[in-house]
Amino acid sequence: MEIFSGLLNGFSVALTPVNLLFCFLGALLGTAVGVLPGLGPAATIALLLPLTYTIASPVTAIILMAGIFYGSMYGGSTTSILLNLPGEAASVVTCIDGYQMARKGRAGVALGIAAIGSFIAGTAGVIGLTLFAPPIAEFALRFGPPEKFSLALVGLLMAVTLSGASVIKGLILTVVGLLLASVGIDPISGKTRFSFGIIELQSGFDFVTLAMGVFGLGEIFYNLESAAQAEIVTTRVGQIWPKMADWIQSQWAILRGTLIGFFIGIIPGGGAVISSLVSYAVEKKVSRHPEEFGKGAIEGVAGPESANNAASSSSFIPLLTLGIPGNASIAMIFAALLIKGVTPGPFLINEHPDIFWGVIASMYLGNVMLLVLNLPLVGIWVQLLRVPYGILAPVVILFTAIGSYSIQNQAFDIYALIGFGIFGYILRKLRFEPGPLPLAFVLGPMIESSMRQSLLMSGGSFTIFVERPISMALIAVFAILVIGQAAVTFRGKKKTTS
Amino acid sequence: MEKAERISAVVLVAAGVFVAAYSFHYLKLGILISPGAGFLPFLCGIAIVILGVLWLLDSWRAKPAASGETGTECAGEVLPEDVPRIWGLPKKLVLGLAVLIAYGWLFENIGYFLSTCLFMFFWQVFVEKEKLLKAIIITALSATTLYTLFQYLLGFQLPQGSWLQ
Repeated sequence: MEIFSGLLNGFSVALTPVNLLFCFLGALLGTAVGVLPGLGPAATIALLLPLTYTIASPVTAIILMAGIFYGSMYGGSTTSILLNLPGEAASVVTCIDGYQMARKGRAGVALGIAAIGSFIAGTAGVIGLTLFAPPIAEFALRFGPPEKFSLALVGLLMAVTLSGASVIKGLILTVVGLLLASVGIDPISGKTRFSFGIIELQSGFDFVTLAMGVFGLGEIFYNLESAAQAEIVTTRVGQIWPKMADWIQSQWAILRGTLIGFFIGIIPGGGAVISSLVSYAVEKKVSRHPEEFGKGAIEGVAGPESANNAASSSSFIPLLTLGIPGNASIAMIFAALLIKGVTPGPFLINEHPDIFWGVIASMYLGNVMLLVLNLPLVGIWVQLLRVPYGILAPVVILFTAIGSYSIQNQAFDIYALIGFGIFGYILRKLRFEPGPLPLAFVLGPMIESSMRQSLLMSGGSFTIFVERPISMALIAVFAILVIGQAAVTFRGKKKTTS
Repeated sequence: MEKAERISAVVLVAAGVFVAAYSFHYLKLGILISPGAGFLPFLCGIAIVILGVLWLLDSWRAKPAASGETGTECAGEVLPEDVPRIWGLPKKLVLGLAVLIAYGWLFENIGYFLSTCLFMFFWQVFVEKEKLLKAIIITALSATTLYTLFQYLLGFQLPQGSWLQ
C-alpha cells in the first residue's frame, strides 16, 4: 500500500509540465545518442552534468539524465539493425541477427520487435524497481560504517570482475580513481594531498571535469584518428508491426530477456552490455533452430534488446537504495544527485520521496514516450547519421570546455579537462574499459571516511569488517564470485591450451 | 601492442612507488586507530605497484601479434600505414590537441566569443581540411548558436576577455 501511495505521489511529480518536458527531452536525447555511434550514454550524461547547476529542481535534473540513459538503449538498436553499426555497446549483439534480418528485407520487423521488446522489458524493469527498491532501502538502514565500507568496496570490485574486461586493468583504474578522489584537502586532518603547490588543486578534481574528459573528450580524440563518415542510408525499413508468427517466435525471448536483464542489472558491473550478451547466448541455447542464429533469427534481436532495457531500469536499484552506482552512466547520475545536495542511499526514500518516486514514475512515462519516438519516427533517427563528424566533434569539445569552465569559472579546469581527455584516449588505446574510474572516484570519499570511522570504532582492528554479520556476508558473496570467476578463467585457459 | 603495454606498466610501477613514498614521508600514515591523510593513498600506491607488476607479467605472457600483420604500432594499437602522422602520433589528433590547448589559453584572455570563433575556424581548416568558405559558415553558425545557448538560455557567466578590456 505504501508503495502504491508512493508511486501515486511520484506520478504527481513526474506529470508536472516541466518534468514531463525534461522526461521527453531525456528520451529524445537518449535516442539520438543511442543512434549516433561514438557518443555513448555515459559521455552524454557527463556533457550535460554542468546543466544540473542551472536546473533548479534535483528531480528534474535526474529525470532528464535517467531518460538519456534508458533512451539510449532504445536508439542503439536502430543503427545495429540498419547499418550493422552499434550505436552503443549494449546493442553490439543486436547487429548479428538484426542486420541479417534487414538484408532479407525484414528491417522494419526487426526494429519493431526491438522497440516493443524494449518497451515491455523496460516497463517490467520499472515495475520490479518499484516493488524491490523500498524493502532493500529499509534493509540498508541497518548499515553502519563497516557495512558501508564493505558494500562500496564489494560493489566496486564486482563492477571490475563482472565487466568482462581485463580484471587487472579494471583494478588499476579502480585504484587510480580512488587516488584521484583523494587529491585536495583531507577533510579530517586538513592536510593538502597531491596538490604540489597548485592552488586550484587544493579543492580536488571535479567529477564533471573528470567524466567529461575521460568519456567525452577521450572518445573524440580516439575517434579523430579513425573518423569514418557514416555511409548513406539506403536500407528500406518496410513494415514495422510484427506479424503473428513473429510474435509467437519472440514472446518467450522477450520474457527471458526481461528476467535476465533485470537480475543482471541489479549487480554492480552487470548492466546492459553483459545482460544482452547472456540473453543472446541463452536464446541460442534454448532454440530449436540454433543454426538460424546469425542468419536473421528474430529471437536474437528480441531477447538481447529486452535484456538491455530491463537492465537499464534495474540498475537504478543499487543507486536509489544503497547509494552504490553499478556502472559509469549511473555514476554520472550519482554525481548529479550529489551536485544538487542529495545523497543517494537508504535515506533517499524517506528524506526525498519526491526524487525517489518521481524518477521511478518518470521511467514509466519515458518508456511510453520512447515507444512512440522509436516506432513511427525511425526514419528520422537514421537521418541523424548524416551529421558530419567534423561538425559534431568540435561542438562536443566546446560543450565540454565551456561546461568545465562554468563549474568554478577558472581556465585551469579546461586544462584539467584536456589532461583527462588525453588520459581517456590513452586508456582506449591500451584497451582499458574506463567504467571503473568514475565509479571509484565517486565512491572514494565514502570508502575512505567509512574505513577511518570503522577503524576508530574497532580500536584499529581490521577484523571489524568480518565480525559484523552484514559486512561479513557481503565479503563472502564477493569471495564466492571471485573464486567462481577465477575457476571459469582457469577452465577457459586450460581448454585453449589443450 | 605488447611493447606499449610493457612501457605503460613500468611507468605505472614507478608512479606507484612515488605515490607510496610521498604518502609515507609527506602525508604520514598515522596510527591504525586514527589513520592519517596518507593512509589510503599509501595503500593505493602499494596496490598500483603490485598491479603494475602483474600487468607487466601479463603483457609478457600475451601472445605476440600474428606475423604478416600490416600497420605500425602507435601508443599501443595497430593503425593503418596511410594515417598521416606527426611524431608518430596521428596528425589529426596532434592538430586537434594543439587547437584545443590554444583555445584553453585564449579563452579568458580574448573572451569566449572570439576564442570560440578561432577554435571552430582552425578546427575546420586544419583538422577537418574544409574549404575556407565552408569553414567560415560553420564557424559563424556554431559560435553564434553556442553563444546564444550558453549566455542567454542557460545563463552561464562567460569571460569577456581580459586583453580586450
